Amino acid sequence: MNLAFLQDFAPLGVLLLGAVACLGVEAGLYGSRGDRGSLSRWIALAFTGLAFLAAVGFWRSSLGPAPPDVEHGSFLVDRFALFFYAAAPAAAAAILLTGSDLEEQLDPHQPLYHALVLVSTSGVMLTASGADLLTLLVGLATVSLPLVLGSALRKVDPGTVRSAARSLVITGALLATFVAGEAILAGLGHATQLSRLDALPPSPLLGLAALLIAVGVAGSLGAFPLTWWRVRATAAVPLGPALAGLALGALGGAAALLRLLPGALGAALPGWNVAIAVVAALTILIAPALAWRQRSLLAAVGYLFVGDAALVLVGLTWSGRPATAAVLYLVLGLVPVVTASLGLLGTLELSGAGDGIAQLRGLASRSPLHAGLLALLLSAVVGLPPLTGFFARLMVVESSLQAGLGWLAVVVVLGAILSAAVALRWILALLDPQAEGQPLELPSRATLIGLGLSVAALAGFTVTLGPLMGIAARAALAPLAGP
Amino acid sequence: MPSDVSLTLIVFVPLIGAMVIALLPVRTELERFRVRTGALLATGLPLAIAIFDLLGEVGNPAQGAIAQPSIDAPWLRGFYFQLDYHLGVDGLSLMLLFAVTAVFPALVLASWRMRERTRSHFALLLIAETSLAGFFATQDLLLLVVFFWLPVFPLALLVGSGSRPGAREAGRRLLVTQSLGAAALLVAALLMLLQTGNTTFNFVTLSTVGPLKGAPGLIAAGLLLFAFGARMAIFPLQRWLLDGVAAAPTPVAMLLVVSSLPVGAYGLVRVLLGMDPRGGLQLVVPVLLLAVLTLYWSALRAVGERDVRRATAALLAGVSGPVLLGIISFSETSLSGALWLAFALTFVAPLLVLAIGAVADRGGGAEITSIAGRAAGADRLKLMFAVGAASLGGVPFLVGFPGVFQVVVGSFAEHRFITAVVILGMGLLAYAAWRVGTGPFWAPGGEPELPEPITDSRGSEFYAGWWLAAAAVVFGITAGYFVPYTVHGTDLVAARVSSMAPAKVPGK
Repeated sequence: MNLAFLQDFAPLGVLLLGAVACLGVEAGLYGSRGDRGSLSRWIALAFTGLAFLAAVGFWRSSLGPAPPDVEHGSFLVDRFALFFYAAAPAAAAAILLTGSDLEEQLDPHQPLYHALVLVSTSGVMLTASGADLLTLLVGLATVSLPLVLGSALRKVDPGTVRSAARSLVITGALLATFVAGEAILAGLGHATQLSRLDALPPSPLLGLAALLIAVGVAGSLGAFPLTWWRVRATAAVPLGPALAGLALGALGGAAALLRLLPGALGAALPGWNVAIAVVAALTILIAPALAWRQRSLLAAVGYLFVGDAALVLVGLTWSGRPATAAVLYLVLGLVPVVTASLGLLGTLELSGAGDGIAQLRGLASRSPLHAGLLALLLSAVVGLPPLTGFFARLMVVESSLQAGLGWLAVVVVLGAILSAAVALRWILALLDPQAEGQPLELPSRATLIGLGLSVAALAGFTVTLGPLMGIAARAALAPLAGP
Repeated sequence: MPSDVSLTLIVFVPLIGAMVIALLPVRTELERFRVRTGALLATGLPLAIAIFDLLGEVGNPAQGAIAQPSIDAPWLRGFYFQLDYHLGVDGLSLMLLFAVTAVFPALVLASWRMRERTRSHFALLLIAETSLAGFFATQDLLLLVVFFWLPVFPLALLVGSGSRPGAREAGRRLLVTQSLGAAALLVAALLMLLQTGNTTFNFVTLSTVGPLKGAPGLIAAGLLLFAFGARMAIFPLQRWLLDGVAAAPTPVAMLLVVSSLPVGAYGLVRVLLGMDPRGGLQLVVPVLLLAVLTLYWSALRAVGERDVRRATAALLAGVSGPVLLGIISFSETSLSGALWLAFALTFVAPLLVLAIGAVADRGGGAEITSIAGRAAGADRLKLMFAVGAASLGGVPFLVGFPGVFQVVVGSFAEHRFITAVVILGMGLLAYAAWRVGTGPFWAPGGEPELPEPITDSRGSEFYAGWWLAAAAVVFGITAGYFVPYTVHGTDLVAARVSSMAPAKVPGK
């Protein structure tokens, strides 16, 4: 029996093996009770590293003019998928490192949480490889459900149980919305394969399907009308799973949306892009406005991130390859920002420093490292130049202009100004010289490594904008129609 | 050493220095000394490169065309637009880039005695140098936007973290005003790119291919005037500068004035006139009005102000008036004068702020009545102020003279009445400078007893002042050698504007 085909699943398989190993630790098969969390974290990190290397190896073997895409039924390994194959394990590593201090909240179930992160990461890969509607659905469910379950690992009071249950119900409802959109598409195209949907003509029903799909996917990231829920859910559940849910959800969601909308339905763009643009515009304006009202930095960052994630929808309004490359670059830049900022804020909260404006006022004089990092990350979240978000915004604005949606470009600029105002307000509070307080302890070594790598990634993504966009453009080449 | 590497080093060595300094410990005096020395090295190296390589490379334009060292590497390709890592110097930017590298060692020396937040102060100072040097060295409009925004944050932090009353408010005002300016610049840049159909932000391309016309041109010009005018502290956007200089520690106030007028003036010439000349031509009347208003408003404000720091800032903001006149007169000579004034202010403005700041710091306050006559015995400070004020007033053989002279001569043919009004305004500004100076530096007659005298400048503060005053004198005496650099840069801009409106604009 020839088992050579198994190598095509190597990155995915490595992650699932890692998850099994972490479950072994959870079950007490190895490792003493005291250091299980640390042991399983290093196991998970090792497996994400292996998966990343396997993905890079795949990419290098497909650098020719016509890459030999691997196809197993509805499972496609092309350059687009490989982009996510490399990005997802890197994101998982960032989550595991920057969120390591937050895992205290999940004690003694850290190994189970690590296993869920790895499963969710494999879900991103599965989504990116999805060549039909069902695979995309399974992939998305694999991304979101494990981390929703992970948020139920801390059951300290009825409130936490309720929050986890509410997250589960809303995630289920969002998946159902996504399925409804897919069902319309399947009905219109009489097929579930993406390759057979590209001939669909623009129609109101197609617009509705695209809207349902966009809301189903982007809703979990806080797109309108779920903006309020997303941030409240993030604040109500343990921060580790919440952080992982946002980072991996952004990757998985972008993969699904790109495969489906500009990818499969690119030819029928005028039939659906305005609906998507409206959802994006509402989110982009509402999120920073809500962020402005927050007295908690965690909530403010949550809303700002929601505004950033809505930029993915803006990038989808044009089916050209540069637009898709811009979305890929945007998502790539979002991951280190969200993991580092939420990880750092969680650390502050656990250390008793809090995340309220009164508690953080004057943080610079008490803890320059914390304040400097927070200021940098806030600048990155809102895309102040010269950080990655600035170039990403610029590129999605250009995409919306290419799509003939000038008003959307104006909305993005307005949203950017509002977001910048929120960030600057917090940064000034952090730097208030008149406030006093106790110095803060440094985060753990693992968290510091994670934060350092995230900041390095932010700088690196700016400096290597050209090469990264080149990779993203190659990744956008294979599955997508358009110029 | 090839000059393309030189430019990269000039721009980014301070940033590397800032990163290193941010990691150094500052617990003991020795460790703080290391931080200061590191900052001095990080500012000294770009200056050395600028002197020995950059100036040597370009030669003397009086003897023929200058070489234009540059580095142009693709940064982003395959997108709707292209980005380049494009640094270069030409006649417009060479002297200003040199001035930035020359002034920062003085700023480090002036900060030498700072005891609080040593590490963050020097790190932010170096980041500001990178952004200013990058602003003058870049040849790509999007990079220019980035470098225009980059110093805003360090400046706001430095101003806002001061301990004087109103520091926080001043930092916030600076941040808001300059952020809005940067946003306006970005929108104007995008408008220029989209409306002209270009796909690159390259200066040369934007300056030569399809200039903006009609309403988009006017909108872009308005945005550019707001962005760079806010940085120059023109009327009515001066408060951020006045509050900042009044509330910030003296070295920070010096940095603030270095980062304001030269940046705005260069931006207007390079971007507004270079890339949107039609828009610039539509703004002649409003800009002339702003020039006069800025000059008179600032001069009167300086005369009436009781706070000497604030009065000094108003004096410096007033120079934006003649600079605006020089820019909007479009002739090669007036443009060269405007740029030379910007160059001169890079040395003169911090010199004045240093002298007045030292008096106010040691006098226990900036209220003119509390320090009246107390610095009469401080000869070094008095000399620094005198050199600065005389340079500002256009006294021959000092650095300001060639600028004032060229602006007046270059503008007179086109705007006789306004030029005369500006000359009168310069007189008023000179009176304001006299009034600010006579307060602390000259003992009032008939006063039997003066309070405790203010000690004179010594040590690092003196070296900083000496360095700046020497630059003001040296560049004043050798202006004949250096002015051709700016003239060489402005002739192309003037010719381009002339070609757009030959009937209205005088030639050379």
